[in-house]
Amino acid sequence: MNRAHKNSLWLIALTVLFALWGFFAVQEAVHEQATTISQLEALTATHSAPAVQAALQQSKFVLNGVRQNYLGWFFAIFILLIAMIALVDFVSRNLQRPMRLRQVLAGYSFVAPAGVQLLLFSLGPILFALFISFHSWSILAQEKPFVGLDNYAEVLGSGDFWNSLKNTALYTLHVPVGMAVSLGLALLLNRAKLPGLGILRTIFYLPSITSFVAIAIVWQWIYNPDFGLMNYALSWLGLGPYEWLHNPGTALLSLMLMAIWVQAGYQMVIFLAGLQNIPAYLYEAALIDGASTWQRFRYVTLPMLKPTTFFVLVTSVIGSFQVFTQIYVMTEGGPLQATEVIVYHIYKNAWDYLRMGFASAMSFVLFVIIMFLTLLQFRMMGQRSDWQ
Amino acid sequence: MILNTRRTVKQFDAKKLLHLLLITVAVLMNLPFIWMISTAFKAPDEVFSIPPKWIPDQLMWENFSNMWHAAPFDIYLLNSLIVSVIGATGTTIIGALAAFGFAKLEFKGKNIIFFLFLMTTMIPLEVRVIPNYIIVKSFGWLDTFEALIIPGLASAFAIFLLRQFFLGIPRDLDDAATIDGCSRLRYLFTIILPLSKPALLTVWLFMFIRRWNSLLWPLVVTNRDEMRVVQVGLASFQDHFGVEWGELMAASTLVAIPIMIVFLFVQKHFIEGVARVGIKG
Repeated sequence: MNRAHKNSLWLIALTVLFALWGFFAVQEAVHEQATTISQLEALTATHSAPAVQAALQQSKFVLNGVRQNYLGWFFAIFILLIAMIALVDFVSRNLQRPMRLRQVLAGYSFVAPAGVQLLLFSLGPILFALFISFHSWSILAQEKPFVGLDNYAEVLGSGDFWNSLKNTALYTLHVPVGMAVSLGLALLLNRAKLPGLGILRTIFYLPSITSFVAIAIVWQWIYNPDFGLMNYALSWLGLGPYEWLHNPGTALLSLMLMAIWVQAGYQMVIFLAGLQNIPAYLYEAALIDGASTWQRFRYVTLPMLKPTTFFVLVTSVIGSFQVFTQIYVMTEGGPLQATEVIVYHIYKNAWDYLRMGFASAMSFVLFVIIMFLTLLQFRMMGQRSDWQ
Repeated sequence: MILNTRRTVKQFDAKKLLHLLLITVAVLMNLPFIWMISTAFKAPDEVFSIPPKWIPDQLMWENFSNMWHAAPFDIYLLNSLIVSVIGATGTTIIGALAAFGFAKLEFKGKNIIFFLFLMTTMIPLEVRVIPNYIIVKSFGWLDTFEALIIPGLASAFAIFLLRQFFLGIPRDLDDAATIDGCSRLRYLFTIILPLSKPALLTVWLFMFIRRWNSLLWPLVVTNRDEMRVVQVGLASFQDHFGVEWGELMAASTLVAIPIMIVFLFVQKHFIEGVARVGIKG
């Protein structure tokens, strides 16, 4: 057995020891508090003095605190120890080559601050979410019993979950329509080589950087059935009035229209960059061959724009699976759950009904969907020259 | 000759028409903002007028003062400013360090770690919000700036964008610095960073806007009114004063306009950054 392996083994043993010590230390603290609580409870049976009641509450509070702090610190230190195992393992493996070791240490020390952050608040939590989803977990309850796959079974059998997934999928249908609008805008902007186009591009982009809460509030006026802009504009055409957000049949559609407006500027900027990357000689060649405007668009622009289109499609679909703010501000999932999308459903279960285990199971399902979409994007992105 | 002139005239008209069309679309797209600002200055009876009134008869500055007194917007703004400035600066610094490691240093496992970093973009906040809440709660950070700022301090997008920029800085500079005996950290701070001002500015702004506009995370980790950020404050203001359109729009204007003004100053860098890597603000 070489030195490197010996070192790692030592660290693993240390980690296990630490975990065991932590476990027993906490058991002891919990036990101590529990004894106090039972003594105090025995006391309250005979004397119901307020001071005893207060002491009892205090003890219960401490007990809760011990448990929760243990969980957080254990989680953090555990990750740190695992990182140390990897580090020590690596260092000892390369001790014979000090020059290379120095390089490696320098590299890791630059990357470490970001790495620890991402590990603790991004990669770690997804595993933690999986862990929570196997428990019946409420912030208020002290007991968090293991329930196996029960949460997942409940998710799959829950009509509300499928309803929220259906609403999310329906909502996502705005993406292709919005992309057609954005591509149209990009083509126009790319064509008209006149002064002031920078300003127009900026104006189109404004909704993308504006606070969603503010946008959602303004659009509540636009959709107001009595004095909103939308019904007023449609009345010119002799249509309406419609109830928009107040009618289960049109509420989701209203949110989709708004999403197209919000997204248009962002998508247009990406399309514009894609259009400018298409070499001019392709169009010249097509012109010489006598291609019409439509043919040039169909056989030059669209194929050359395929990677960009795919990028916009996937990022927008992912974004639309994460929709929350508009729902929270405008409809709260209503009317009749017609706009209850998946992230809002998760939020409601976790913080209104305090069912964190159940909500985590749904988060994990959402994660799998998003991971699938992103992998698809990375695969296609390999073909984009400026990636990597 | 005549034919030629006619064609130029026709082309000129087509371009003018196109421009007109684009300007019309631009105005239409900004109607919601125009209405937001105009309603912020309207008297209550003007809000409900049909057809919509775009210019109020009289500027109602009272809407702003009423809104300011109805909810502690000064505290919300200050909180948001603290969270956004520290958050954006931290993300930029941490991102620049990591990007430098990935772009300019050679070490074993670099590609795997970079790939892992990119993987984290697959895990959006909406999926992590429950475990992160429990972690932050177990640290005792609820209702503190730590909870608002620290999670999400490292951003794979920021690292990716800066790495791409650093890769564009010629290798000759690296070699020259190495020969002169310049330490890596000094090389980063005295040579690389000054050369990357536009990229740093873009990343900083992305992160500032992202923080300023975020709702879900601050909503979840803050309960006390004095720890609320501006988006949570605005959403709860809307809950309580939903019918007072004048005050509500005054508040929305207050929340939305600062970012829009900053954006107008730096839009060129910003939009080019978006076009380069497709990050959204």
